[in-house]
Amino acid sequence: MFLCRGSVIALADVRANNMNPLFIEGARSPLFGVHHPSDSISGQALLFLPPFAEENNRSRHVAAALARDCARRGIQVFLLDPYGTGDSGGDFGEADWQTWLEDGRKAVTWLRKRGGSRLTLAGLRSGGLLATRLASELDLPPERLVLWSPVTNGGRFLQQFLRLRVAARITGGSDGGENIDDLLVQLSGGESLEIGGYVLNPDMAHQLAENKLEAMTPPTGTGVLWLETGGETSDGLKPGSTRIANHWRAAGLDVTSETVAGPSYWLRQEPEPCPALVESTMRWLTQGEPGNA
Amino acid sequence: MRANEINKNLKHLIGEVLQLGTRADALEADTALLGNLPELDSMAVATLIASMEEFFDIFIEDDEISAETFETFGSLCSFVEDQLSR
Repeated sequence: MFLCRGSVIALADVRANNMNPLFIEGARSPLFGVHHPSDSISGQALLFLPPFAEENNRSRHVAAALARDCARRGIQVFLLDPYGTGDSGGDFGEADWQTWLEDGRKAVTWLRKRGGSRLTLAGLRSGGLLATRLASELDLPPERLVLWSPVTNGGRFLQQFLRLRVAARITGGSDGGENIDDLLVQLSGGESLEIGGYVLNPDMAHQLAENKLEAMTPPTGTGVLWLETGGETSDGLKPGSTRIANHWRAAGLDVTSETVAGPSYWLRQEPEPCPALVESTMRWLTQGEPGNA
Repeated sequence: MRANEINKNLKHLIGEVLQLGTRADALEADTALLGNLPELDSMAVATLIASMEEFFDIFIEDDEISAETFETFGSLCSFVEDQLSR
């Protein structure tokens, strides 16, 4: 067994699924990731950028399911643990958004060197925000961008994270305690905050808050798949997401969007599979490939 | 978004966040939430607020929300209607 800080990868699983846990060079330290190789010569590769803090731990199984399906269909996948997350070097409290962007660039380089000439960037939740930003900044744009329930507003997302710490106050549990504004003041004063077991440093908070999907436009040639989960399958997305997707379409981007029936798996303490999400993603990724509809 | 859509979407969000399953379908305007649903602890409230912000694309400030907001399903629906009407 590989027994690491945050994850346990059974050797039997490794052999059965042909997954390679390994370290690559990151911006500030070696980064852990799981590579799902493919023996296809198509050059297709997918880099998956994970969500923030505890959401990463809760959603790993869904990313792994995507990776297995992709590898079976000729797309090699790298599931990256950015700096300070998972089994990568560094502490979460020392991580920041700029480092994670640079880690993404390093992972892209690593995949391209391994025959990944046709790159898909994929991200879940804040990983989707990171993937979009990375897609917009790469010298060589990715062929495709897959967004799973992306965080659209980094500032709002930061407030939601801070709210976890003052949760009791909302329902009157602790009168007169700190509120979100107090926490923001502490951050702007250079203080790191402990939130639900994670240390949030001011640089991470500040940089995260600066990122909004509506201020980013992926490169025009990059095909986009935007998927969300909900009570039932539909053509639509959440209202705010629809607005941004349409804005990108108006800018000339090819955006496919859909809500699939499934749980908010990144919130669940117990792993809950989301097969419709993976199926829908695979359909889009393999459309137009030989042997597919 | 019309009131009945807000109603339907909020039921789904509450059901999702609290993992109520089909119990969420039974929520009515006068169904008590805070203090009545054991799943609705302070962490669940924070998560529900975040889900509401994400779904309805709104920003909920500290001082706009209190225990009263979560008193009943009806009070929560009214809150969202109010937020969306701005």
